[in-house]
Amino acid sequence: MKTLLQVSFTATFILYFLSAILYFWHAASKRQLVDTAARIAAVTGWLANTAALAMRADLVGRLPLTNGYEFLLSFAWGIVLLSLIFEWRTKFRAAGGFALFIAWTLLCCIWIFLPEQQYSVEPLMPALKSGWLTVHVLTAVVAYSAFTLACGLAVVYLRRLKHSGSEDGRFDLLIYEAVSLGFMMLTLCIVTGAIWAEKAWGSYWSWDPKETWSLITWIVFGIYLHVRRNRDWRGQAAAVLVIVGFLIVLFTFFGVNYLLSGNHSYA
Amino acid sequence: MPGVKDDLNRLLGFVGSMRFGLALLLLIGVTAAGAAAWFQNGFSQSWLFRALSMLLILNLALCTWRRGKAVCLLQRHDGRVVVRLIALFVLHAGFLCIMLGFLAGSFWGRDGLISLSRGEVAQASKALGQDRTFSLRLDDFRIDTYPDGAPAQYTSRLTLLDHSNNTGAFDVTVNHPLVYQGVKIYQESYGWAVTAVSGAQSPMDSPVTVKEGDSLSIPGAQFKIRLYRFIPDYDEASGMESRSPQPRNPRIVYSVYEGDQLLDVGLAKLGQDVTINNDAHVRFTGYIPVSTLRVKTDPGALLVWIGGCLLLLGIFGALYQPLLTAKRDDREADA
Repeated sequence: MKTLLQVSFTATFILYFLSAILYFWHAASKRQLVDTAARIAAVTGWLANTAALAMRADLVGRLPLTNGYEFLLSFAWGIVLLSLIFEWRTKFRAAGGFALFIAWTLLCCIWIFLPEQQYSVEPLMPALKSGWLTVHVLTAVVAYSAFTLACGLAVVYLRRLKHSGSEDGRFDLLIYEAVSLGFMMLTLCIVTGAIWAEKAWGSYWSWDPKETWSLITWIVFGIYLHVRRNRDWRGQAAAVLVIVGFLIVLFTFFGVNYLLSGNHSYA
Repeated sequence: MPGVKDDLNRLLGFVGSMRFGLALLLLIGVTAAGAAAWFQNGFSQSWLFRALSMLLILNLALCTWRRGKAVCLLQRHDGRVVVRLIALFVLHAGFLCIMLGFLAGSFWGRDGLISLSRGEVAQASKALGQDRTFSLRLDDFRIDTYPDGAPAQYTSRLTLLDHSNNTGAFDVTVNHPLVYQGVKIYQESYGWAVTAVSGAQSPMDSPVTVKEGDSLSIPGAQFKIRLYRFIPDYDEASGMESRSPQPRNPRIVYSVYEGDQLLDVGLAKLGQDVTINNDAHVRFTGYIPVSTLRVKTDPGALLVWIGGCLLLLGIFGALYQPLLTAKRDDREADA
């Protein structure tokens, strides 16, 4: 099983990287064949990622959502799934390269920083033995993935704006859609986390660094939704705000987990 | 007084504005992050947080009022607009409820810890600092472990004694608190207590139970021994960290005081005689697990949960539309 897990992980790693390169190549060349190859690599990589998650679930006997390795593997899976669904729905491929690149970078983080967690099977501590864990972490995966996609669109939008100088209204609306999904899921994540914390630790909100930074993420994207809705900020300024929001998402995961201590130190 | 009225309206307009609300939210987030990094706990009890929260509550109340009025004055019956306006009203009302509940909890909520060894009784009122009629008795405390010795679950079997009436036994575990008379009882953590005999010439006094962090006065001598830590499974390489929660190789870390002056720190085995300045003796004879329970009342919790439900309902109602209107022509029309 461990060998198969290693093969699936390596295949995911290679295919995501290949797909990201092909997406970027397609953005530059507009060749149809490259576009098709990029999507095939992304779908195959996602299937390998799914297989890796399934094997990890079999190895630990539960959904793989508890430690840093499992969350990053699920996060990469969520980003690529959301990116593929988004492409299929909108026929808009601008953010594919960024999404696949971020997914590949997350796998790099596993390889560099968390290699010991790949095959270790740690039993769950008592506080983590709750059904709320699944809902809480799954909603975080979807929220973070949606924010990644929004950031990818914002980066591509700003780059195109710089090069061509013309506004593309589609970007603004698609970023808004991705942020809306992320915001809904982040709210659900925070609320389910509060319910769980109340049951486990006797406090629905304890200003733990992860809670605080999740709140800051929520506030930043809340500000984006307010100012965009009131037509104060659209286009360039809103795209910059989305990128700032995504950087805070990254800090909420990496910075808080590995620099600050708190109730989420195991994650 | 039209001038005063205009000034008041302008002030209310500013306090209830979106910009003021967003600035307050951001300020709360940034100060909370600073507090989490430098002070760890106690942010919600600080005057700064309470002042910012009250301003935010005022802002949200005005904003909710304005949105409620907009819903009542709706003339057009465009389904999407109606749903969106109602959702925004519900969302802001939900957030208002959360803030009110949170503030009520921070002002009037009570919280305390009770450490009990098997058979021991403690009054809930002492831990809460509130008048409560019942006491807790720990009948049993169990640590379930995985095959590798890691803890799987902590279970305290409690009897609630209310006016000398035995209410029956309840199991409290992590993730499954007990609720009685509006007081929630949580399994917080666990520790150890040791039994010790001590005396001036030889350890001959009757055994006394000492919990971690507590001190024992030695009869006939001027010394006190403080039980700093009980290490259930000691290993030299692990130092103060226990290899497992099981008492396989117990050691006691103690400190000796004369008045407030620290004289010595040491590590003792069970049954070992500890001699202090050739004047006093202590012997640790046994150990028992101690369950630490959190007892808590929060008068704002219900409001927070109602607010959470309203917030979710409002956000989903307000934001689901862009996700459903995926058709390209719709998007272009909106853009």
